[in-house]
Amino acid sequence: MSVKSMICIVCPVGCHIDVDEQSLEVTGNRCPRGAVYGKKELTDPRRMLTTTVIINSHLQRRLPVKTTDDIPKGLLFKAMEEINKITVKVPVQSGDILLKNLLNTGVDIVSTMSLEI
Amino acid sequence: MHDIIIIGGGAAGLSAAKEAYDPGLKILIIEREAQLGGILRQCIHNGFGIHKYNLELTGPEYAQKTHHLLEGLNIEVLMHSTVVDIIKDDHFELTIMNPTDGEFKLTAKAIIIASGCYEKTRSQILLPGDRPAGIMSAGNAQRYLNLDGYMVGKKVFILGSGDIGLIMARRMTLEGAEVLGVAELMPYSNGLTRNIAQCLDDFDIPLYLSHTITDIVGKDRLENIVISEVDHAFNSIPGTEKTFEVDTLLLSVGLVPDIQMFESLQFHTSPLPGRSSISIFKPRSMDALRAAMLYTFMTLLTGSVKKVKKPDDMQKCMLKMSSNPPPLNRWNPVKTSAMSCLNALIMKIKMRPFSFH
Repeated sequence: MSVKSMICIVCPVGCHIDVDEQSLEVTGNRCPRGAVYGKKELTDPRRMLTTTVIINSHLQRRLPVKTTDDIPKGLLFKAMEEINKITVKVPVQSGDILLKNLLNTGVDIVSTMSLEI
Repeated sequence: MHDIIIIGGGAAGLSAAKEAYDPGLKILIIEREAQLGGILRQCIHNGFGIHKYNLELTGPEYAQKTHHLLEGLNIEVLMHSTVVDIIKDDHFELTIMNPTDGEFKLTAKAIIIASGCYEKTRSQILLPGDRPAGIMSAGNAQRYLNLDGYMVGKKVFILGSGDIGLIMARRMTLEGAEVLGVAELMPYSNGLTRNIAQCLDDFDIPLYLSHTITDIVGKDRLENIVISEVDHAFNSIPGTEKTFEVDTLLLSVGLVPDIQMFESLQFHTSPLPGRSSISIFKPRSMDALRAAMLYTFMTLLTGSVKKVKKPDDMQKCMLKMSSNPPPLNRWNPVKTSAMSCLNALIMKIKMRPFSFH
């Protein structure tokens, strides 16, 4: 029986948690979200991705964007390639969907900033 | 004449405006950039607002949400404008500059300085070696990359394991740069452990604890850096040198409050060099409003959560503070991450307007 030690990344507390590799039982977490994270990290590790895309704004040259949900960790670099193909024209609102169903994950890419000009 | 002028339209300034708001008060926010939000606008990663909004927001989203709190309130905003001088007489006289009006003056009964921090530079930590291009602070690199769209380097090393450095290690890696490592002088990281996990471990970026840079080599552009292990007195240990071939060095080595503006205002300043300079009004010149203002400023710096509601309490609080300066380690730039610092600013400002004499 082996135990995997990791740091929970759900919140800034950063609990040191241990996950049993067989039973997927999590110990050391100070909240229920840690148990969910520990299990998921062993079976299907996922991350939120935040980056920027090109925009024709007068104010700045990049528009910050994010995934609407976490995506498989192994897809991060592929996702970056896809996202880097996006160009956006103003006006754009925070929350506007810029790319649907990124790499068939069911996750969208949305703007995180509103820019009018 | 304004009742309150707030210098800085970032997280602290916007929150201060909301807390200070009263329909009877004439409030003005002065912001030097084209948009409100301050540093939050370049912090595109998520993790903001967990405590305040119970949401996991990115920096720009957090800024926008904070800005929305001011909608419908009669608060003036002066954009593109920089305060260059403050004089205190019966009231505060601010000298302001902007591209359309040039230099002009505004007066206020009270001011709140929410002008944030600047990052420590190479010369402030006395880094040895050549002085080529390619060495910059992590926050600067963040701005270049996230707002201006410039990739600042291809092979990167980071000095300092504060959160800005860790966040930039991940950001540069995702954008295709190779981050060769992060060196930290202390035997522990100053960043959040979750940032060590999701910014370094996720991308197999090594963290060299108890290490610092002992040489920088480069003619025009940075070519090599040398790091060495340090002993408990932070002296480098000969024979432990490691050389990295890099074109860019990011510094994430601490923040210093940008409070130069206070210098003309007769303060007592902390003698501790390079750290937060906590300044205190001379007690005899205090009235309730000034105390309230100062309390806000003190709160900004110290992150104190004490709520003071009545002017009397303010006076007491002030007298206590002036005779017994707060411990500096409450606001320690080395230990305070930029993010938690911002959160602290936002959560802990509590100022209520008082009647003016």
